[in-house]
Amino acid sequence: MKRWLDRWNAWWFPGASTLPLAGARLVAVAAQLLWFGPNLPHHINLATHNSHFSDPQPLIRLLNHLLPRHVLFSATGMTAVWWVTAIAGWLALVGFRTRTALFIFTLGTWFFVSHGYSYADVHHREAPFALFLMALPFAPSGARLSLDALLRRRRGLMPELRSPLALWPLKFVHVLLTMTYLSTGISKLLAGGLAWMNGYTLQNYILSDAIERSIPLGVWVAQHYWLCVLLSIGTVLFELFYFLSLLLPRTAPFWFLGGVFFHIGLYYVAGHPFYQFILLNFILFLFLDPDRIPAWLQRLDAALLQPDRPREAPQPS
Amino acid sequence: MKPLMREPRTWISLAILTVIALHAVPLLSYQGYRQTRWPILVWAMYAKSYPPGPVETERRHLVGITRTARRVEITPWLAGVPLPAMGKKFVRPLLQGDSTRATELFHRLNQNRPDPVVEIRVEQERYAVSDTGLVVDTMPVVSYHTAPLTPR
Repeated sequence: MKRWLDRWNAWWFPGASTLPLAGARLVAVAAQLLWFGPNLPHHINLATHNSHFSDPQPLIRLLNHLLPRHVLFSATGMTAVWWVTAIAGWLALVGFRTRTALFIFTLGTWFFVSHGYSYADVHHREAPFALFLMALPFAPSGARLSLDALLRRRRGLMPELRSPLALWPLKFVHVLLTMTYLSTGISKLLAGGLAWMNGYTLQNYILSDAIERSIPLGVWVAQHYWLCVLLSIGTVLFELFYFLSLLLPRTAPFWFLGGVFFHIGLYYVAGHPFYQFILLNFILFLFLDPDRIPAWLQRLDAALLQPDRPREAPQPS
Repeated sequence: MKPLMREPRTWISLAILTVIALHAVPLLSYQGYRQTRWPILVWAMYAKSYPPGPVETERRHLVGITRTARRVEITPWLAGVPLPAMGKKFVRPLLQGDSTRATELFHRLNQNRPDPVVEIRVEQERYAVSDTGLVVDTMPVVSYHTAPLTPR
């Protein structure tokens, strides 16, 4: 038992630099603030056009149980939550009261995603990213590249350069991505069998999405049978074997880059906006291996960690 | 040395195991496409396979005709639902003759409209891949009027 616990701790909680986690925080929070952030008019429109939730998600069920609907699910309520989330997000980005700001920001993000998916429409693209955001407050995400770190330095305190909790959010999202890819790959083989790779399957899926979303490239791809055979085999192999990135760490960068291009391809051919998956694979590519942190990030960190210049001693009058 | 249950690693480990284990719930209690356990979801999108045969799809859109004979594209915004829910909530039921959905849609569209929508049409095209390229066929329109509410 102890041997398994030691192995578990050695994998999930190795003593590691806190810089990769800080970099991941910057990229993830900036992306959620500036790219994926909730569309307030859309949420107000949903809340005011619908008198009830057709398929309430857990967070929405909880809030609906605790508060009258008009408190949060109104133009005023939605706007208030949006502003609190945005302010928390900016604080999390600059790294002031980082872990508290991250937690509030993540709760706000979860609120809007859950709300949008409570009207007979659920999608998968945000789920692993949302879980990653929720992991960040429970790790030393503000130890570096943050106002908190700068203020700590000004008070003469040592920055938290290393921590056994520094890598667990990145490993957690790596495991989640592996689970999602493996699950989709296995479900294709269980539900569709090897016929999933017969070319006709992908032709039909791509044609349906490309026509619906007016994507000429997708319409072109759907008309080429052998191309669709190759793409479908590639899709299933990628999903089924992504787990090798966990077992063979040296191959991980290639799987992460593969994930980035896989989802970019899905977007341009069929219009699937799995931006969060692109970002997560990119974050893992940049930050999971501490030896591959971008040089500009290390320079920024060094500048923030630089000790204050010594003050001149006051002259006697 | 801290007691085991006070170590952050212990709580984090329990949380990790809980999240991973929770992913079995939607598998054991399958909800289909109307999942209500976000962010814990079943990942079985696009799992169905198609047998060898014609590659074709249909495109449907909702159009409103107002009292002044103006044509209005019924967008998700106007209907008050997310885009992917338009099919489940309105398009498919309207094609199946569900006049109660038409009533609901008329109500949503005409809330603050000086020129009310008096007819809702489901327009459809079928696209099929052929040796000579993409073939497009226009299919019969299904329409609903504010009175009487029967499909035509």
